[in-house]
Amino acid sequence: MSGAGLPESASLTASTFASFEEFTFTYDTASEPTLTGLTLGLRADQLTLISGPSGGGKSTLARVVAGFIPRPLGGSFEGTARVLGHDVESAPPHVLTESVGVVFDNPFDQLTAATSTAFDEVAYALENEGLPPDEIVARALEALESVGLAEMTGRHPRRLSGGQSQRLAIACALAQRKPILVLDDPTSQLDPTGREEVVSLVRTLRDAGTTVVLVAQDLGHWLEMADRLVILDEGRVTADGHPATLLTDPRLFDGTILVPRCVAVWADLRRRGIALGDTPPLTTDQLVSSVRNLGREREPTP
Amino acid sequence: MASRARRVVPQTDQHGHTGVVETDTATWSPARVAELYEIGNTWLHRAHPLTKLAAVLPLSVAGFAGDTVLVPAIILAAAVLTLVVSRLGIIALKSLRLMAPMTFALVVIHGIVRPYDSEPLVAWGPISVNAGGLALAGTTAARIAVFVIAVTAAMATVHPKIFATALIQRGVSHKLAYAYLAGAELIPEMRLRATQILEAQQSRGFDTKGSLPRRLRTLFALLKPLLVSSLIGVEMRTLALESRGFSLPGRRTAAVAVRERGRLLQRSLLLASIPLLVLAVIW
Ligand SMILES: Nc1ncnc2c1ncn2[C@@H]1O[C@H](COP(=O)(O)OP(=O)(O)O)[C@@H](O)[C@H]1O
Ligand SMILES: [Mg+2]
Repeated sequence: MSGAGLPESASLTASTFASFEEFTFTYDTASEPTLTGLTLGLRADQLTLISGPSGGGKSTLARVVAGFIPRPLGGSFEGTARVLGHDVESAPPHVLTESVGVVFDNPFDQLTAATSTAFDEVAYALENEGLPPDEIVARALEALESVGLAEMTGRHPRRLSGGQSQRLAIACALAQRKPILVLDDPTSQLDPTGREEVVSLVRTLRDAGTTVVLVAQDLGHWLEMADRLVILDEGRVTADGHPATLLTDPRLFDGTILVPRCVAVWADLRRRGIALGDTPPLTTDQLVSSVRNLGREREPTP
Repeated sequence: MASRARRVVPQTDQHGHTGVVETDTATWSPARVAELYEIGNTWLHRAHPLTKLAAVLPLSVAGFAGDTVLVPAIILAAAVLTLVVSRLGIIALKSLRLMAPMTFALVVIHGIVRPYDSEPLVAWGPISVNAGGLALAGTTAARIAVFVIAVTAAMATVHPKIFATALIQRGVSHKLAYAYLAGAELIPEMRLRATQILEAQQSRGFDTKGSLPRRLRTLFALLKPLLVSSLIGVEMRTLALESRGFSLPGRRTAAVAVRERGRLLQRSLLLASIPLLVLAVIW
């Protein structure tokens, strides 16, 4: 399946901010490599969606891009991984975190455990940057507001629900205004409303020029805004390309990824001989309009 | 947004508060913030955190003046009176609670167990209560109590975050300040984790009431996940801190800066300890 998009990713262009060459990584505590022979280039002007089955190495890839591997998370590796021109092996700990914001897969893991309010939790990074107090307050409140936590600023971070913690983690990353954001399944704990809010937030960020690397199991909401979809399975890239092109491949429907309903309907109809265009619809709206078009094409017949 | 900002961010010169304190106690209770901190806005809250800390030294040293309980008892009485008048009697109570076990142990060791030359006050067989021993126990307890009440008053009237900010502003490493803050959150955090694990275990049928051996078994069943979750927490915490610029070089600021003042007073308090020390040694 790797034929889908390797040439595009292997070439290191000016706008590639992260590049992997035959990168194999094994955690110190693991016997098997988590990433195997990864060759991939992530572009700075795109929203890259990374998906695949659980345990496929998505979070690990996100951690490499965020500058957490091979330090402080230890492990051995082969090949090279460069992020923002730095070899991850030799980059000092803060150079990547200075430019890359990150939201962890488990939001509870992302707390500093040294603050007593959500506000202080968001402000912490800005204090470390040495920003003036006024700016810290303004940015922290703005970030909390943008994730719908305006009423929770004084709440203890440990007293937040899963969804609220996830919003807090996103707020922490937003407040730092990094040019690159790595979001590891940022909606896993959210209810449908919360998910919608985060999805539109990410869309706004992307439209404003933020580079986004987004890990998601459920592709549904992200396909339409993704410039590229990378499927990781057992530490290997098994598919890579534009979502609309990639999702025409029937092999992706074998259960490795959660195919969104609109794509599944499109594929199912196609199997039954009803063609709704060459590329699958990426949203329900697109599906509906292509069904309408189909109807219109048939109407004049009698 | 501006009005909301004003609602949740207190004035910067109120050092009793951190950046944001919500007034709605239904969703936020001060007890959850830190074990020791008493929310309030008394003169003691408004004093510079380092002034309060600096006052601990001369007070504690003065407690050692004389050979009897007199001086420490006077300081103690004055301290309790001051706290009560300032509507901070709770701090005196907290200090008492901290002191109680130690005082009891001192009385037992010096007053009863340890043999003295003087005639015993009362004697039941091998057990005798000794006046000299009791006096020593009382003096020692009072001296320690002076220190405990001073530290408690200093630390219970400043939000940990404000204290950490004051330290950083005076050039203390932000990593040390983090350690202090994490320490202030440690007990509530551990308690919360323990409750979560306990609830999970109860739902899986572990016995948390029942007989003592049963409860001990529950305790051991609790310890392992608590330890494991704490250890995993440490690895992830490193990442969390790194993602917030923990190891960024350069100066730190704070959302709510502590107004710089009282330097002279703080130095004077520290210097005052020297003559007091001399007094305590010769008296
Ligand atoms: N910190 C770690 N230490 C050791 N092994 C890990 C660690 N994190 C993940 N792994 C292992 O790496 C594999 C891939 O995990 P992960 O990157 O989290 O995948 P995904 O995010 O796709 O579910 C899993 O087998 C997991 O057990
Ligand atoms: Mg993951």
